[in-house]
Amino acid sequence: MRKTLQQIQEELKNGTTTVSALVEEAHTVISEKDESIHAILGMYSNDLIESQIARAEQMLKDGTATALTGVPIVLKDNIVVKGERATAASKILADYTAVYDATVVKKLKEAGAILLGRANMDEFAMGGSTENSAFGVTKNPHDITRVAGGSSGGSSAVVAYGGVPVSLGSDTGGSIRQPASFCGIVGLKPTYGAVSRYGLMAMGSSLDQIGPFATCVDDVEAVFNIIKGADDLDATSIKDIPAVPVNSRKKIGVPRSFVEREGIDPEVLENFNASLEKLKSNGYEIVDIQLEHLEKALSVYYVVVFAEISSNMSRYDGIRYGLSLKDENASNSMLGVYFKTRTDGLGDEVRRRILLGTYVLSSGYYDAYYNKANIVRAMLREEFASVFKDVDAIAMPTSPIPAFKIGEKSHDPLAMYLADIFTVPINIVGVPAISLPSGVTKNNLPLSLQLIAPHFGESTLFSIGRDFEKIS
Amino acid sequence: MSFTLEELDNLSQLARISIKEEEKEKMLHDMQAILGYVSEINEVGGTTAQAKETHYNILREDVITHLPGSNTEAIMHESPDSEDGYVKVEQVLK
Repeated sequence: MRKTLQQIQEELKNGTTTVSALVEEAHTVISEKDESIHAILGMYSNDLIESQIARAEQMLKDGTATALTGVPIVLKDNIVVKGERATAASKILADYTAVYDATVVKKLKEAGAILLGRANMDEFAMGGSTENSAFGVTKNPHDITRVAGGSSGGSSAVVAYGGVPVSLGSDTGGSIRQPASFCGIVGLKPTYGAVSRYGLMAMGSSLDQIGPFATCVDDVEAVFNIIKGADDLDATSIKDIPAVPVNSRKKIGVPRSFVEREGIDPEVLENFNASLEKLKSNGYEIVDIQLEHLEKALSVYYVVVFAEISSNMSRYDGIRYGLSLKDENASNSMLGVYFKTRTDGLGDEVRRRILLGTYVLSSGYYDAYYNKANIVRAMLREEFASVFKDVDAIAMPTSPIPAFKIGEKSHDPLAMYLADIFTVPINIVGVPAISLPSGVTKNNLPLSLQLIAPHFGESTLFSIGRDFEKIS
Repeated sequence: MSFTLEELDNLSQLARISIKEEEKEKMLHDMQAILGYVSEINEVGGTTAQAKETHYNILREDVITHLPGSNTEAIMHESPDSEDGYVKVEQVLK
């Protein structure tokens, strides 16, 4: 399905296509391509799909159609839909059925979108390659020996191979932008608080945001406009969003010493510089900027995320829902359930992060890790705010490397973390960022430009993004 | 700074996660590498006062948002073991 949302709405209105035909086409492409890519963990029930088709048809008839009416959409499998399976790609939730709708799901249903299926991901969104999925890796549609990125790798790959026009993912430290980059599509991490997190399985609660994938900026914007907004059920969603005007002076800051670092792929750097040149020749002013503690953002991010994970994951205890395993050999049978369920039900990366979080929050180390991370986080926030007084946006590559080989980094968690260097600072500060396709390597692997705006400056990202689409 | 096998065993108890003997060496090695890396944040000065000023509480009105019992059946259906509307657990006190 290579049509834009606007083309789809035009075709639905003039009768060239129907909602059922769009759904059937999505099914056909997915059943054809997903055998080799494995972006999809499962389809939603026919009841849900049929009722959404009926709703979409009614909306078209009534003239109340939105940009997403009749549009098949795939959700990352950590977003819950009432009465449907939601696994977070974990054995511990392999048979879990959600009991309520996430706020974004409610909004998508009201907009007439067709919720089609559940996308593969790293278990509980912990990872950058979907290699941590308990149900197998998602492959990159551009080269199936390589990862699609992660943690929202399924959401990205299914849009990239044309299964659906748009999808949702979640981004805690780059989990939308990096897979979008690896698969050659557009991905948006909205401002923290712009989209309700109600019904998103929590990983790092002060960092998580739901956001869209699409093949162009217009479509990402259309989905964002439907899912955004304050929500009483998420106290961190923002009610009084300040109007951020799109500036005409168009000045983009580049933290050059941070970008030109050891470990950045030469082709990535070359492509990044070429993207800046294109923007320059299109009337943008490019300036160097300094963010004093940017080098420390990766460490700040991981300390904070470990801490929040160890707290959030304590709910998976084998008692209230999900997998439950008894340990006949345990001296205390109650404790035996906790240990056996969590040990057998959670994968290596999840267990490692829980242990690391338990460590950084333990009384002897709290000040040295968690407290210190929060102090540096506050400094970074101020440094970004100060830079944004002078520039409209900041540019960086999304990833220091193009899509890597499956298995290349899975044995070395620290090496995997280091690949997040350009995406995690954005979640630490809470600002929005977009990943835009910017060309390919010699081996035809997608590359991308990441643009970052001040809090609630999504419109700036869309505006520059559209300009960039025209010239790249 | 060195993170020890003893600390790993201790954390495993606190986190309610067992680590198999054959996994311990790799887990210890990976966690040492990660903790060693993120310790760089201690090179930065600064005080807790700087971190706290950006945070504030948002509390909603204490009102009923769901009718009592409206979700009980669906939620209880997901519990591994239940009886008469109660979640059943292993014996806690002997």
